[in-house]
Amino acid sequence: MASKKPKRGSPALDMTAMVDVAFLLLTFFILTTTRFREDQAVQVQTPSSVSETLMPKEGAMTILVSDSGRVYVGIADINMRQAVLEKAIADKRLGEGVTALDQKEMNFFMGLESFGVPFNQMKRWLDMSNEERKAYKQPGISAVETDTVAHVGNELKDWVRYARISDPKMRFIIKGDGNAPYSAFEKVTETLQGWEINQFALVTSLEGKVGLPEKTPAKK
Amino acid sequence: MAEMVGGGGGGHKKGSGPKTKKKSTRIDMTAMVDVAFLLLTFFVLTATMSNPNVMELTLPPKLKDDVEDKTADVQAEKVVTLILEKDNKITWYQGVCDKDSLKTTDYSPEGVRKVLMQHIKRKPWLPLCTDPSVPKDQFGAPLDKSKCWSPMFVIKPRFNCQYKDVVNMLDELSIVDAKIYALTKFTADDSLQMIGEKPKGGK
Repeated sequence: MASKKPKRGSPALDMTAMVDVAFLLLTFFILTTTRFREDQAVQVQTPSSVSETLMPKEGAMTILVSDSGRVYVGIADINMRQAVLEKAIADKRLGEGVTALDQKEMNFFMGLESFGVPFNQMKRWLDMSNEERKAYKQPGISAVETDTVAHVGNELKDWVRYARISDPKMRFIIKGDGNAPYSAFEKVTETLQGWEINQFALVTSLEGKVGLPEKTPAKK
Repeated sequence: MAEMVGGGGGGHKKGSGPKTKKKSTRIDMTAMVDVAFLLLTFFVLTATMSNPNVMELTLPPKLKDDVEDKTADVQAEKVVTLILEKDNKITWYQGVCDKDSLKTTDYSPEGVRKVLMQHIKRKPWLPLCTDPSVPKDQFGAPLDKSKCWSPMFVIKPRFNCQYKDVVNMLDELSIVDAKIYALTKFTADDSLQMIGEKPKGGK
């Protein structure tokens, strides 16, 4: 009983349409990718809100507050990072003898999306090898006048000043972790207000639309 | 597909030079497709498509020592004070703080949002002062304050509350479209008032 074999289709299939779509998507993603994810000093889980205002991409300094209340700083523009660090060097904050950084150190600094290293450790940190740097935990930037642990003053205040000198139109964005203590956030706002910066933006992730408990127009 | 039609036979033309061997125009695209999808996956995963959202916050400027503290003349009934406690609790009171008028609520839609809405609509016969139909002077302030209702909210986070509580609160205020609110410090005087004692540094 020779059963009838079903006709086998050719295993080669026409992929042209698929390839077209694949390349189209590929082109789209290549063109829209502006920059790759950079080194983050700390992971921050932002709280959600209904705000739909987009975060400004340029001309902004982000102040990160981690869940343990540590403060980190990030600057959006790469060239601005260099300008701000040069202001700090000119102010002799990296040590008396440090007048300039070599290209390697500067390049590394410019590749940082955020950092949290006190001024007195900055030079040593930039000199470290990649392995040493991975093992080193960034302690964060002091935002109080007298830090009893690190024995430094309010260094966030200085970073804000260098940023403002470098770009007088610099905006300040606070990216706090939802579980960060309020006191840490307050220290940051007080530092900013010390420079009479009273307007800033808080980074939030978008949550769904919410309705009011009772519909307003229906009730009359 | 880039496939030629018509050249199939080859043997039909007679006596027109040497027969060129027709190759198939199909090419094996498998390897190319592999690479294309690999790159596509890479770019999809690394692309940071959405820009995060931000919430604007403006704090009142700090008073200099030589500037007199001009307390705004605000009717107490317009003000609701919300004290953010730890563990997602909110203590609130309307008007002047009084030990017996303290109420507690939470961040659920049935909680604080209802409180805010009730306060905004306390005087439904009056339009809100921020309403465009209310006549205003050149600075945007309403001409006759008794003819409109301007609810105000004061947020006082306690030192042991979390950052997300403040963001949640600001978010609730923007959901109910509250126009006038302030984020201020929770002081020692406030805690004394809450247990029914006279503030020490009171004026």
